[in-house]
This record gives sequence, C-alpha cells and structure tokens, in this order.
Amino acid sequence: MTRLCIALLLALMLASPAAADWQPDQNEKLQVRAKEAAERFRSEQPKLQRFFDEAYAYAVFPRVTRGGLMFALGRGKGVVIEGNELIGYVTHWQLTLGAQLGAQQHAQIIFFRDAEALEAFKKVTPEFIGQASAALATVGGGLSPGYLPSVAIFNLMKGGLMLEVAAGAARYRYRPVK
Amino acid sequence: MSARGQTIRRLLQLLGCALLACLATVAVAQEIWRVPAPDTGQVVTPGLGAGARGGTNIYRGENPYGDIFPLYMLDSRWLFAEGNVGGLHLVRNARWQFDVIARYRFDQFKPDINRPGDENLQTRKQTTDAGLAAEYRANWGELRAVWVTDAQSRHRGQEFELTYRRGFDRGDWFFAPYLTLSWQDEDLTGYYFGVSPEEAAPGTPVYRPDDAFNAAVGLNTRWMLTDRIFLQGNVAFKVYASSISDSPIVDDSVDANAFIGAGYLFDGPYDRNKRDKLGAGQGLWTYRVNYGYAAEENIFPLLMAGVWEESTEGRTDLVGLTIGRLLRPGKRADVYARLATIRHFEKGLQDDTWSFAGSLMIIGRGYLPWSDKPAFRWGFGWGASYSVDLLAIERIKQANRGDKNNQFLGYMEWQVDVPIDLLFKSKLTRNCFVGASVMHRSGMWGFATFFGDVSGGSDFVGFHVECVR
Repeated sequence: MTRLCIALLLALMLASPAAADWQPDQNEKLQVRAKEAAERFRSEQPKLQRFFDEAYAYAVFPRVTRGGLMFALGRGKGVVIEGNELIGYVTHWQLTLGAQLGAQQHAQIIFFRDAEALEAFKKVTPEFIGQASAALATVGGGLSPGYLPSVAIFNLMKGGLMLEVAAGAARYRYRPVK
Repeated sequence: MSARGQTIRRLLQLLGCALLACLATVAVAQEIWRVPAPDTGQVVTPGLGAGARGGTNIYRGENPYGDIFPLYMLDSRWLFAEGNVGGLHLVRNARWQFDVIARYRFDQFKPDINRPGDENLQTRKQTTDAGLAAEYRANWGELRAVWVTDAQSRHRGQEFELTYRRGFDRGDWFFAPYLTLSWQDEDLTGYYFGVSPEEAAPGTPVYRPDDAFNAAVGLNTRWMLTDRIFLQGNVAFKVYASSISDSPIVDDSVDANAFIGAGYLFDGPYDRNKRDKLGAGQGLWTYRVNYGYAAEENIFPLLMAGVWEESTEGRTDLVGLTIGRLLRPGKRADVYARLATIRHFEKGLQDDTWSFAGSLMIIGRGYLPWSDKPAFRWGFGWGASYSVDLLAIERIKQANRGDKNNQFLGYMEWQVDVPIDLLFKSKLTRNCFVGASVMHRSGMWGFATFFGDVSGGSDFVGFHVECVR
C-alpha cells in the first residue's frame, strides 16, 4: 500500500501542469522578472488561467522590445518552464514587414499544449508570425496567432504604441539550463 | 522476347538512330541552357530557381555578356520545362522520347549607333523557336535531335541539331559531357549575321551568309545539396561556320558560355487518397476571385508595407480568377501551384486585355490559441506572367522612365487574409478567406534577357475572397 501511495504521488508530481508554481532564483534578474510577468498575465488576464492549468510547458518573456517603420525588429529574452521547473532560457528575435509604425514593449507568454509543441520550439527554426496588435494589444492581452495549432501566444503591453498589420518571421533560440 | 523479335527491335532502334542523324545535320549550343534536373520519381515535379549566364560574344565590338535567368521547371508525364525549353511529351519511355517543344533563343545583336560601321544596322532580336525533338537513350548515352523554326517571325528560318550526351552519376554529383552539331538555314544566318543593302556603311559591306554548320562541346553538371535543392553548372564552347565568322559584323569564330544556377524541387500534386487527412484551412484546390487597381508604388517594400495609393500614371483596374492546386501540405505552410486569369480594364487608355500568371505559392497559417482553426494566412508566390497585349499601365510607366516593355515578365505575389468564419459563420463561407494581395510583374531589374531586358513593370493592389476546398 505504501508503495502504491508513493507511486501515485510520483505520478502526480510528474503530471503536474506547467501552472504549478516555480520559484525563481532571486539572484537571477531574468528569472525574477519572468516570474513577475507570469503573475501579471495570471492576474490581469483571468481567461489565461485555463492555459496555465493545462499547458505542458510555457515560455515567458518579461520584455520584448519592438520598433520600426514598415520593417520592424523585435528582441526579447525569456525562460521556459516545464512542470514547476525552469528548464531553459530562450532568446527571441523577430522581423516583420507590413503596415507598422512606432515602438513598443510588451511581455509575451507562449503556452505549449503538449511535449511535441515544446520540442518543436526548442529547435531553432524560423516561424511564420502575424501581428495585428495595434489597439487590440494595448487594451491588454493581445493575441498573436500561434505558429502551430498546439501553441498559444499572448502579449501584455507595457508601454509605447505600435500600429500594425504585419507578417514576418520569428526565431526562438533555446538554451537548456546547465 | 524471341531472337527474331530482338533482331527486329535492334534494327528498328538503328533505323531510328539513323533517322535522327539524318534529321540533325545540326549543331547547337542551345544544350547549355538546359537544366539537368534530377528524376525525383514523382509523377509531377515542379521547381523554381534562378541562374546566371555569361560568356563571350562573337559580334564585332561586343563585350562579354552576363545576365540572370529565372528557372521554371516542370517534369511530368505530358508537360515539361527545363531552362529555356518547354513543351509536350508525345512519347516518353525508357528508350524513346518525342516532344513538341518551344525554346527561347538568346541570340541577339544590339548595334551601337556611335560605333563606326554600326550606324545603319538594325537590332537582331531574341525569339522563341518551336519545333520537334526526338531522343534515344541507351547504355552508351543519349542521342537527341531537334528541329525548330521561328515562332515569332523574327529570323523566319530554321535550325536542326543533333546532340550526343553521356551522363555519369556519382552520388550527389551528375556530369554529362555532350557534343552538338547544328545546321542553320540562310534565313536564320541572314537575320543574325547578314548585312542588307540598307544597313551597309563604310566598314560594313553588304553580306549575305550561306547556311551554316556549327559545332559545340559542353558539359552539364548538377550537385544535389539536399533531396530538394540542387546546384547546376554548365559550360560550352561553340565553333561557328565560316559563313558566320566571315560576316562583317562578326569578329570571332568561337564563343564560350557558362550557365550556373540553383533550384528547389517541390512535391507533385498532393494525393488525398494516399496520404493523411488535411486539416482546417487546407484543401486540394483553392478558388480566388479578386479585384485590383494599378498601384503607384512597387511591391517591395512600400506595397508590402501597406502604402497602397492608386497609380497617378494610369488608373486601370483588373478582376481575376485564380485556381490553385495543393502540392504539399505542411504544419506551418502549404505549397500550391496557381494559375491566374486576369481581365484588365484599361479605362479608355487602350482596349481591355487579358493576362495569365502561373506561380508557386507558399501559404503560411497562424492559428487561434490551441486550435487548428486559422487566425490568418500569409502567402508569397513567384512565377511568370504573360499579357496578351502590353498593359496600358506598363506602357505609360515604362515610357515615363524611358525603358522597354515585354508581354512576358516575371511575376510575384504577396497576400494576407483572414477566415470569413471569424467575422460570421455560414456553411457557404466555411474555409473561405477575405484579404488583400499585391501583384507584381517585372523583368528582374533589366538583367534578364529572358524578359526582354525590361527593368520595371507594374504593380496592382487587390482585394480577394479565396475558398479552399
């Protein structure tokens, strides 16, 4: 019986959703900021609770800076959380072309529904992205179309304004925790 | 097969070869422009790529030339395209191949009116030849005979060619040295190398060349970088007959040409019965109707960035129907072959006319969160476009910038759209998208003699509804 209880506990731990709390290393500024950003998403966008609950893993970028005229460049750094563990760091680059003007900073969170989506993310491949943030994003919880069906991307505005309907490519460079 | 049957078969083969040899009193350096694309084993293999040509010039006072060259490739049971030649397979088996072909002839001469002796000379233009080709393949190599005549009434002559080629496969490498003999009739040599009494000037006497026997040796090579991407390089030397080299507008009797390029081979048409089920937003066929207007700016980058002002040089419109066939579905993007039929309304600037555009288009999708429902699509296509008449907007634009026109030009298209389902739901509009596109015709900055050395063209902004079925 004891063995059965231990096995059940282990199974529950392994099956813990990404939403389970992870504790950042207080000496790591990026981790602290990422944790704060994740909490902001959770508190300011209650509709995302479902994603926190069900996601296999997620990546959170506390600050993505974008700007440009017609061509826009964006960059941000973030962390990847699987279960309640930080499993890696990620650098995000994006280049978009379209009707866009201005500069903005936003936090971004990417939810992976399953392990396959996470593994695809870890590979350094450019992904199609679409941006139609404009005012929609500025009211909070801007939705960016996911590049795969099992990916969900949300943005939370921090400052600036960027009017845009653009498309382009994004690249996520993943580095596992040593 | 019985011994008698084999004997008859060999006799027939020999007879065929002899017939080819008789047909081909020729020589041609045209083999250098062929793309040695690999046999993928697919029923249909479309491909796109680009190349660069360069070489010496036998014409008097002419410098070596160089230009870029779009590669439109197709290998299928009936239709084919490779380099500067395309056509229809009449018969195609392991031994024999008979084709009806159309082939672009790059030969041209542009006199310099400031050069002594050139002041009265007329331009000799490139043209499209059409004719028949026959090929026999055996262990010892392949023998190919070609007969072509002028389809654009420029040289009004004809040419016969006979080529022997031997291919060697070495893993990812393929080499095929060849020898070509060609015969060009008096009309062809007269157009490109003759001097009429009206053109004569001091240092450029009247000259009427006889028919000519030429010879060329060359090498076609290919390297498969991946299963789909290949690089190719061809080189050839051509020796011209004395009736050509004796012309007063010719300085040399030998030229050298090189042609390098790279291509990407796409999958053939997707077979729904043999493969996985397609997801939402995907389908075997696409049907698009669109309306568009001539734009002031160029596709890259202003039109793609949303600067969609109407042209002030010619306010013409178009409506079009585009049909696409799925070649390869993907998780992130699909590849379609598309054919657009476009009616141009020239608003009194000239008679209304038609154009046709063929392209390969990559269409990417963005999804709603954790859903296989598309939130938007984004596409980019490349191909070629032919207008039945010169388009009014191109005539005006090119005249304003002092450049030339061509009916056959390169084609690019960019489109973005959203599912109508996001706006309202109805059975009729399921898997239909509404959005905008930018259509562009141009001659690759004037560096492609294939497009008549045209720099410029036209751009249209369009709004469309496209349904995927």
